[in-house]
Amino acid sequence: MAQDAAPAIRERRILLWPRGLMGRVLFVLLASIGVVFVASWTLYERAEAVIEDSDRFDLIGERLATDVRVIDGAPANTRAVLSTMLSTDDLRITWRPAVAVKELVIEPKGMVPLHERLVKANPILGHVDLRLSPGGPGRWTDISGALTLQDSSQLTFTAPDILRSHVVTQGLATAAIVTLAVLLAAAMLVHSLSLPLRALATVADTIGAGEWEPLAEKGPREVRRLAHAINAMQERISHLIEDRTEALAAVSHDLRTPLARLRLRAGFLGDGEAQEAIEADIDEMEAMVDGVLAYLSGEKEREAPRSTDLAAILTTIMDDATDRGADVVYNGPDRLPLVLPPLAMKRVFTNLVENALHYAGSASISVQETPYSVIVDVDDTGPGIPDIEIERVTTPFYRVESSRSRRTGGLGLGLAIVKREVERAGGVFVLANRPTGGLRAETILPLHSREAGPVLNS
Amino acid sequence: MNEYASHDADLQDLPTRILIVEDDAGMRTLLSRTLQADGYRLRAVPDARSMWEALETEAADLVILDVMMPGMNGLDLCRALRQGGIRGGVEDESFTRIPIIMVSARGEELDRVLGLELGADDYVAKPFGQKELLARVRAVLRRGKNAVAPAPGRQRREVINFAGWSLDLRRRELYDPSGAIVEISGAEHDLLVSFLDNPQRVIGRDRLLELSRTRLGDVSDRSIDVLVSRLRRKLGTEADSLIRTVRGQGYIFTAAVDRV
Repeated sequence: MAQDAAPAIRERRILLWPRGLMGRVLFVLLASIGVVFVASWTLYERAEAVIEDSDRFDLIGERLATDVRVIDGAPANTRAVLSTMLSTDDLRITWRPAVAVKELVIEPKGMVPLHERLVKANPILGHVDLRLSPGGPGRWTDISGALTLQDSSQLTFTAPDILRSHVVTQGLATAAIVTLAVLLAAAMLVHSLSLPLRALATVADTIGAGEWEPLAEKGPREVRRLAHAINAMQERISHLIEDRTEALAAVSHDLRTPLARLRLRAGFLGDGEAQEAIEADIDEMEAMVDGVLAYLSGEKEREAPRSTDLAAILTTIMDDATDRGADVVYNGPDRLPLVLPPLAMKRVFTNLVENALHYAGSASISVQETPYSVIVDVDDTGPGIPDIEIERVTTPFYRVESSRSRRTGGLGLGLAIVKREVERAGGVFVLANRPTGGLRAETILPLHSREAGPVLNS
Repeated sequence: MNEYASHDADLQDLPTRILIVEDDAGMRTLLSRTLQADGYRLRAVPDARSMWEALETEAADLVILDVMMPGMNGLDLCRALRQGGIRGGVEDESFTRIPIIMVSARGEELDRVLGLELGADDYVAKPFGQKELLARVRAVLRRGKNAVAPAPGRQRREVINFAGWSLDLRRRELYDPSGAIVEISGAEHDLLVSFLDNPQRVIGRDRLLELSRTRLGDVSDRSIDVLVSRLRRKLGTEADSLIRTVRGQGYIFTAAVDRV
């Protein structure tokens, strides 16, 4: 049982403690204000009672003294009636015989000065046992009291609306309003304090995911220092990435000269079979080098979108493949002018068609135009991609496990380039296994790129 | 030996003189061997300075330039040659007419376009094979020979306009009337240039084949028809009237051509 209870308690504590910085600060603030609130409440309770109108108080004191004298002197059987007759709106009095007397209340400390004032002005009140008390709930401004007469009978009285009202009620209301105002102001302040932190988090999130922008170094000193540290870190990371990228690009470029020598040398070989095998190896290496360079060059600079006939790109890819003896069909319009980066799109669809040809030996390109987009499907009838891997094949250098063992001649960059370029063009790239077998690579390009004019947001 | 090479040699009585500028010794040797085996006369130099010296000693019919060389790179050299060698210290107006093939380890599309814009006649990306190199060399040499009365500076006019379309010869880019870039293959480009060189005239298949062959390796009678239909498709709805089939004779390019 105890073991069960422990986690429940811990969980509850976490629930109460806000997660956000702002929530926590406000929570602390609210708690402190609450403590102040409760403390003042108690202090008000004990605080000296303050009278609204001292002339009226003195008058009431005189009348009370008179009433006491009158009732004390009257016969016991007339006292009840007399007290009713003597009651006014300003001072209500009630007489109780000794037998009905309740235990007397203890006079709060706050009433002592008023008591003394009454007795000083009317010495007769000093001879009877006088107990003053503030009015009960809802009647905070009243003063009530009890007098024990010489025969132990009791006279109780109430003087309404004589204490200063704001002392308690207004005080509490004011405190509540102030609390709210302070909370509001604090919320705004804390919010503005946490803004740079949030911006920091947003930027930190995007590090490594593309371009970064230096953080504005503002806000509290700690946040400024954090921003500065992150900026410095970003710089170091981007230098590191740049250096590595440049090194990789340089190696790739440099590989082309020895590859060229190799290919030329292969031409002098008498052995046709060996020559073919070497050519195939060189093709494979060339494809890898090209893939890396295509990926890296796109990483570095973006091609500007311009008015481009997508249909011409697709049919050219089809024709090139057909000339090499491959089976590629195209279903779509003859002309399709869109605003796109032409070289990037050429690479995208070349990669998709080459992929299809590689895994299935044939490819089918179809273009549909919808009111908002142009959808280009490249379908094949190959084995498809296992569902669990379909999300990952678009990450750079990722290859489907089974393709590693085959002579694929690729580094797993083809689809990564496709995804990146399509998304940069404002489009969506989706890979899916077709129910009838084979893979469908669907590229959805937005139609806002349809007009010949410049694209505003792409 | 190759039929084209001997054909070239027959025409000039002398083997074609090729100058190779390449800093990589291995590449230099292999390029020389490959081209020598095909009947060309070769000189190979490692840098810009020795290129100017070589050109001073004896003219060349073709220069093969490597792009990435220490010191003055191939692109700068190409520009200098096209400007008549002013920057090389050896001035000769004939330099502007020497056909140039750029050879580069930078095979990206943008690099290729840059090379062609600077005045190279062709741009071959490493790693290329013997066959590809020889085909390119032949094509460039033939083109130089076929150029009828070369304009001053040897350069072709850069842009050809027809029926609202335009073809940029330097960048090898085709634009439709709305200004959209229309992708065309090398063969389609060459076929279109053949048409644009002979507008509003009936061109027989054989002649078209011959014209295109100066640019391409293997083009058959049948593939001319395929190329024409591909080109028509890209030229859009008005294409059938733009390139009309003349039954039994060949094709006629109907639009007026305006060279800018």
